[in-house]
Parts: sequence; structure tokens; C-alpha cells
Amino acid sequence: MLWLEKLINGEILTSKELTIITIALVFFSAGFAFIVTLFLSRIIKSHLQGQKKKIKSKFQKMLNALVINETFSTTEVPDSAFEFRMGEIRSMLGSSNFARQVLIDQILELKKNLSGSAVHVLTATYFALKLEKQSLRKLRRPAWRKKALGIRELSEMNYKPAIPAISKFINSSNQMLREESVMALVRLNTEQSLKFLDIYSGVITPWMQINIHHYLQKSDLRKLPQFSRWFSSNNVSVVLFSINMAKHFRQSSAIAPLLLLCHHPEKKIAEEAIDALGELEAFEHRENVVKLAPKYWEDAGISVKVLQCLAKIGDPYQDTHILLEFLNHKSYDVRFEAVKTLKKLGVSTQQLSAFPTVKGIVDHTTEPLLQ
Amino acid sequence: MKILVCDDDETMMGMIRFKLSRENLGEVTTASNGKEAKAILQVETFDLVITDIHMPFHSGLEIINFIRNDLKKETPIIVLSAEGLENTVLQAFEIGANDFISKPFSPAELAVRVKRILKK
Repeated sequence: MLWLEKLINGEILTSKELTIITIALVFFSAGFAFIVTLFLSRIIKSHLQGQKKKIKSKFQKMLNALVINETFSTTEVPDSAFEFRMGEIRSMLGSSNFARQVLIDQILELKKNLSGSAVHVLTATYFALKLEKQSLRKLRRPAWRKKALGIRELSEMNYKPAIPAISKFINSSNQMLREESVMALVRLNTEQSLKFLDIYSGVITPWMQINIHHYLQKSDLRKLPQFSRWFSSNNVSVVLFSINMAKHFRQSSAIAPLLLLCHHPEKKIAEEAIDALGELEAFEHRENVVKLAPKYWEDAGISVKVLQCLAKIGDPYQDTHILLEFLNHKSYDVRFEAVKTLKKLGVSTQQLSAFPTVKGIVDHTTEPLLQ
Repeated sequence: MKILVCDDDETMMGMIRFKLSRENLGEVTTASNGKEAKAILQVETFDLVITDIHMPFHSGLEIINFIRNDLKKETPIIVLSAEGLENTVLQAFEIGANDFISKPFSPAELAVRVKRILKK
């Protein structure tokens, strides 16, 4: 502690000593400030959690009474009784946004797990307390998490007037926000659940595809839109999604537009279109598919799709000659697929074995242990 | 009548407890995880156990196994789960569950099923 002695004796410190002392002081102060902040945040967090627990248990009693009490959960509910309960909750809520959020979370949690009249009561409670305003306010918050939370709440509560506000996030740069808004629009916009595809410029992720497909399956299939409507979209992802949906929901009206997509410059779209023709059993357009074979000869990926499609809709008498040509293709995958297709169309193993280029493949496909 | 409700979702557990108490179906004890449920089951005897499938420490299926194979008890068990997968349902029945209710469920339906089981 030489520098301390110097200070006590009134001596002047060297510049080096001063720098070291300054750095040490800054470091110490920063450390101290960090510990204090950490400590304070822990205190605030635990305080909020305690508050949340207290408010939650109060609301729990109210919600239980509302949902379970048959007086409130039937259509013969006296409006005055419901209003009385609402008045009680309102006075508990006061002007606290925190309490409102706790209540929204509880309503959503219960709504997720309950069915029947209980859901009607929970929905009525949400709107009677004007909690949708709290959810809508979140859409204006800068943090994307808050926005996504607001979208989720409004969609869960089926608040249709929020459609225009949610639509604004459909092309957000944040993927999570984009996905959340798309799913909300699909749920809320029951009449035109896929209208978002008209303006959507992002990628339709597998997660979105699964969810939209799941939702559409549960909806009235007669009201499904013609997916071919989006085949001309500028968004490749939208086109691919539409082809997939047309295939899954077996929209035979999509066959003619699909034939055009087989010539699309985007390879993935052409592949999916050819695949869809096979799945939709477009027998009457078999010749068009056969004509694609020479066009895409150099492209192994599309050639495989052409062969897979012909395995489903090909003619054993008329298409065999062109399929046999594929046995001499430079790509192993194409030769392999050609063998499978020809076998499906009834060509015998003996005939196929005559081609030296596919002898190994034929042996492989006829191996009894692999059958 | 003594009923044990095992669910890690406090809100749901509170709701079930409220419904069963309101219907005067008996004294309701709750456990918020599998470990707690096992500990309670070891010291107390119940007329009915209602359990969720997914819980911390031990799943609902493990609780059924514990009651049937370790405690060797015939206590009626209702499984309550959001997972309505055929395999899970079949497995629950195979190892000894008496009933299966998939979430979302109606509290009124749960009460009816509980009454029916307790009457037997």
C-alpha cells in the first residue's frame, strides 16, 4: 500500500499510480453497481411473484365461482348476477395493468383446458371486463414479445375486430411475430382464413404449414378456397404451400393450373407440381407428364419426380419405352426410381435385368430380405 | 369420501378441487407433482385418484403403476390429460386406469364421471 502511504504523507502520486487507482476505482464501482442492480432486480422479481400469487389466488376464487357455479354457466344466468361478479372483479382490478395481465393469463389457461359452457363464461368475462383493450395495447408496445403475446391473446379470445391491427404484422421482419400473426389471422378470419396469402411475402415455415393444415382440416372442407388461386403468387413459398394444400385436400380443379407450373422456372415449384399431379391421379394428363421427361432429362431431381408421378398415373403399354430410356440415365437415383416405376407398371425383373446399367439395382429391389 | 387430485397446473387443480367440493363429493387433497403424489399415497388411502399424465418427477402413468403394483391397491383412477393419443390412452387403461378424460374437458362431465365411479 505504498500509494496509500504517499497519500497520507501528502506526497504526489505518479501518473502510472493514478491510472491504476482510477482503473481500480472504476472496476470496483462497476462491480458494486452490478451487484446492487442484481440484488434489486431479484427483490423486485420476488416481490412481483408474491404479488402475482396473491392476485392469482383471489382471481382463482372468482373464476371458479363463475365457471363452476351452474347459476352462472347456463343460459338462464341472471344478467344482474353476472354483472355483480364483474363489478367485484373490476374493483379488484382497479387500474392495475399487472392485475389485468394476471387475470388474462388465468382466463387463457382455463380456456385452454376447459370446454362447454365454461368457455362461454370465460369469454364473456374477458369481454365484460374489456380486457381486449389490454391485449390491443400490447400490439403498440415496441418489444416483439409483447406484440406476439397480444396477438395470441386476441386470437385465443376470437376477437375479430383485431384483424386489421394484426394484419399489420404479417410481413414483419421478426419471424416469430410473422408466424404468430399469420396463425391468428387464420383463426380469426373464418370466412377467408387464407386471405393473408395475397399479401404475405415471408416464408411459410413447416411449423406454419402444420398448424394451418391442422386448422383447415377441422374447418368446413366445402368452404375451402381454390388453392390454385395462389399458384401465380410472386412468393415461391406461397406457391409451394398452395400446391401442397391442393394435393392434401385433393382439389382436382387444380390439375390444369398444375400442368402450367410443371414448366415453372423455379425448380422446386416444378417438382412439387409434378408430384401433385401424381397424387391427384391426373390420368387424363399422363401424356403431358411423359413430355416432361426429355425436357428435364438433365435434371436428376425433376426426373425422379416425373418417374414417381408416372408410377402413379403411367400407362404400362404406352409409357414403358420412354421409361426404359431412364435405365441408362447418368444419375443413380434416376435409374433406381426408373426400376421402381417400371416394376410398378408391371415390367418383369427378367426384362429389367437385361439392362447392365441397372442389374445391381434390380438385384437390390428383388432381394427377399429387403422386401 | 377422499379424493386425490394430481396436476402440476395450479389453476386447473384449484378448479377441479372447487368443482368436486361444490358437488359435495368428498374431501379433496391435491398434489402438484408426481413425487408429492407418491408421498401422499404412501401415508393416506383414497377413494379416488384423479391424475394428469404430464407432471414433474413422476408421470401420471407412473402414479397408476405405483398404486396398482407397489401399493397393490384397487383405488379407482381417472386420468386427465391434454394428450389424447391413442397409445397413451390404451397404455393408461392397460396398466389400471378406470377412466380417461381428455383436455379440454367440461367440469360438469368430470363431476358426473366421478359420481359414477364413487357410486360403484
